[in-house]
Amino acid sequence: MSLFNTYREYIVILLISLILGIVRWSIMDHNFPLFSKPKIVFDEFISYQDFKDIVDNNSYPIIDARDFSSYNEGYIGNAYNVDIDLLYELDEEVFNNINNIISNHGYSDNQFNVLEDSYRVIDTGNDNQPIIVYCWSPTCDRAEELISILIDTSEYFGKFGKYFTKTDFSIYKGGWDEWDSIQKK
Amino acid sequence: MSGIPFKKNNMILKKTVNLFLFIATTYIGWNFISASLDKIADPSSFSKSITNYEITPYWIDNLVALFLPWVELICGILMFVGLYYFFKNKSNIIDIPNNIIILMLLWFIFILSIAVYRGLDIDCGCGISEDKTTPFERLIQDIYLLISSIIIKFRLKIMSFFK
Repeated sequence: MSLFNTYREYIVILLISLILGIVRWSIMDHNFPLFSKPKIVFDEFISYQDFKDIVDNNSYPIIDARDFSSYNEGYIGNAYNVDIDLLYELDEEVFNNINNIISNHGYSDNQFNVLEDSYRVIDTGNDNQPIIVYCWSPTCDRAEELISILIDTSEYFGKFGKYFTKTDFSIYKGGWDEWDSIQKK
Repeated sequence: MSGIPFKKNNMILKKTVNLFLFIATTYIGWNFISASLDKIADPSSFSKSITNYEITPYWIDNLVALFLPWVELICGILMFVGLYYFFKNKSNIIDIPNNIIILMLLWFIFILSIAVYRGLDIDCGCGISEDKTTPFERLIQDIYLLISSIIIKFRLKIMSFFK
């Protein structure tokens, strides 16, 4: 108790801040978990040659995870742009792009185990096509961040976790920089 | 007669110290208030900035992004309130926000130094201005802020020096 009395004013300031933080959290316009989720990690990445085959054959959907203006200056194959910053701002066009991938490429076959108010996604697996995600270069982690949002099952950014699991995604780590430099040669 | 010019001189010095305290408090208060508002408006971006430092455990980032900007805002406002009461009746209430600010600045300087040492090319996430602020630029600014808050902390000793 004496500790509380000694630092009473400090504790009051911290408590008020915590309460205001929780109030701010409760009125946020999108779901923002109080405890952050771990960063998603991929052990294997698609090589340039494999990625080029996919682009040439237009075999799998591709997501460009760079910013919108960079995408407008040039993108790979028929890539859809999903700019994470716009996704955070709940941009309608970005939502449309994700919904287009879901509807055009058949990502609606996951099953759900409903456990009271939560559910677990079971990817029925093999009938889903992989989605290839790229950003700038190997040091860019926007692709991983985007995938972690898309597979989130806590109703984050519009419940995309119902449609996607980690196995649905592959990353072309070389990114736009590698692709562009090889194409220019 | 000889004491009067000395007293006059002393008054000028005291006023100069008071003016300096006012400038230091405004500098700190304004910096903390303006930096906190953007972070309060957009906790997601601030959480990402915290994650980029790769120092704190991942699960705490969102919680800190919600909590810390309010501490900054309240302390920033209390700096002005404290200064007002210090000038009015020599109250030392300003020490409370100032001590918290010193602790925060020491922490910021610690993580910014590590970011600079590791050569991280990240936006510092301090104030979230239009232009990207590198950790090094912010580190210099935080050192100035720390010097200002230390001057405020030891203001009575500085003032007694001129008595």
